[in-house]
Amino acid sequence: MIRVRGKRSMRRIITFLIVVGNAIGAILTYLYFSKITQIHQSQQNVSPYYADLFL
Amino acid sequence: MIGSGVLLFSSVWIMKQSQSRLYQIANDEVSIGSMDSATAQTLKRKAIQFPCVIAGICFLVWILAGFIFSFLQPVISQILYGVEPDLIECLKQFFGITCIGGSITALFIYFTVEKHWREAIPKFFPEGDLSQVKDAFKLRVHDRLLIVFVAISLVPLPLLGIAAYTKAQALHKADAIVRSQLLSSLFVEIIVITAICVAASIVLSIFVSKSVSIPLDKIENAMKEVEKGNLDMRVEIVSNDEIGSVTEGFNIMVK
Repeated sequence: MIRVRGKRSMRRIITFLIVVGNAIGAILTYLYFSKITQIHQSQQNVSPYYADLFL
Repeated sequence: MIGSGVLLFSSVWIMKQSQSRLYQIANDEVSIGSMDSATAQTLKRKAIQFPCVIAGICFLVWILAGFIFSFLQPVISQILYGVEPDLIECLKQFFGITCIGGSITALFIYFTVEKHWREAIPKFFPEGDLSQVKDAFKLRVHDRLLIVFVAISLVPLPLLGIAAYTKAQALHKADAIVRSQLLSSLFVEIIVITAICVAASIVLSIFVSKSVSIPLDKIENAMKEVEKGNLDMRVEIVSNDEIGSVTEGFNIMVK
């Protein structure tokens, strides 16, 4: 079976790939800055059970 | 987010405008044979370089984004709010945007665009004379494999190193409870980084291996046809690298 594509299919495919590629890059950059380089914000309030240890 | 969106859509718009003639030929709206030789030669060169130009423009946009968010934004913040910029932090941010985001984006776009653009290459070269185009960018098989092997082996190492170093810095100042939290988050990060890098390596390896194996399979099938006595067999030439030269040589040989 011959696959028929739209008239402007190549333009659409290339534009789609550019947008997808940049989106992947943006997500990975976001993950890099939010998860890898960001120091983990831990809970500062010590639970009552351990509170005596940090007086 | 707004700045990234503006940069992305402006780059897509610039590429659409500058490459419109190429798309017309790729979509069979215009024939390359109906053009004068100088225009045809220019378009042929542009067609060969198309994936590289697209990936290059995207990488330049990421460098521009890195410059704006890492250096321009802190300078503006200093002028407006008197916040002193930290050069080390600026350089770290620039590295993250250009080397992590930019390089992965450029590699992904180059190999995916090249894979689809190869369908359009025979429309620019009905005679299969890719080697006649001088001064066109040529990514040899050796360089193609080298770039991908270096990328998939070098990107995970700095990422894991930065994650471990950042956590080590935090551990130095943390108390006992926070230390356990930091260690468990480091474990999760290592697993996530490894999983993403393995997935990216597999995808890139598939694209590169297909870019080499598919044209070779076509030549192999054509040779079998010639063995059977079918001397009208021709193979479409889709690249100007070593495989393209071999294909061109095969077509000339059976002519």
